[in-house]
Amino acid sequence: MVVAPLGKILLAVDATETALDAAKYGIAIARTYGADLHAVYVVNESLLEELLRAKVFVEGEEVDLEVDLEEDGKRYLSYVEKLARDKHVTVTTELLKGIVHREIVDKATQIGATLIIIGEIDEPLSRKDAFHDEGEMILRRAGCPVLIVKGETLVDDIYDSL
Amino acid sequence: MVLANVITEATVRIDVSDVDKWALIEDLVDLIVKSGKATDREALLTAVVEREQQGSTGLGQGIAIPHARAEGIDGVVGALAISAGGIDFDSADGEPVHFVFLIVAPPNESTRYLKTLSAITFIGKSESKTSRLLSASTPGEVVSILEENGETSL
Repeated sequence: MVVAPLGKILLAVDATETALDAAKYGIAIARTYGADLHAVYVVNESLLEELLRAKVFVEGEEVDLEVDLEEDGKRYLSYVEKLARDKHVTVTTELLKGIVHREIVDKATQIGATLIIIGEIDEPLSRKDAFHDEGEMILRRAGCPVLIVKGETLVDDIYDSL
Repeated sequence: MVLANVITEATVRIDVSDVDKWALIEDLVDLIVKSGKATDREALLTAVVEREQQGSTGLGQGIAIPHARAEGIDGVVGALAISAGGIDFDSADGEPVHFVFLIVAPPNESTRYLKTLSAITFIGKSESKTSRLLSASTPGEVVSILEENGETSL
């Protein structure tokens, strides 16, 4: 069976500018190579739980935040849809909740992704943090190639030239 | 870097002493307003005070993170007060706090807001970082320490 190396792309979106750069690059690849593009935003429940455990929040405070995190996700996915539409590319978007790297890796497996695209990974706050960074975890646990998009100006040039 | 541009030299106070918790919160709100990142001082102060009244944000280990979301704030913004002698903040461990991080954000920046709060809890766990912050002699030095990446040890 022939499997196209860029047949199905999973774009991992989060609430960062670098994720939007990754979206632009993913759209460029999809447009150029005819790939199916699937964008996912994972509401980071482990972040909320971590802050609850650290007693940063009082009881009930996290409920409003969870709703707002979902709204953040919908906003970013909506913007990715617009970026894709502007370049005549179709993207399927999905909002998920859970542990970010697990949801991304599982979704990639579920849809048969041949490439995962993520934005630039943050510098770790510490060595321990490096092991918990979601981007790093996706790199380690993905069952397919992972592309990290860097270089905002270059990405903008590529996207604008489509 | 999560804390880059959240806390700036203009919103750092070092050598803080002889101040009560509520007056300090008000001072930190004023720093943020003066920095131009928040337009409605009263709404911001009310939001922060109301949250603090629900339960102290003194987490223990010398750190307090008063926080709130309100309209009229330009992104996730913070202010930091450092007190070598410590401030009574009704902390979970009953000890005075040496670092009071005020973090505020508009309602539509929830993810960055949470990541910033999380980043600060990491700072609180780092003895080397907190030790260096206590020894910092200028707000500029404090900001540089906060924006450093990847410590050699925790």
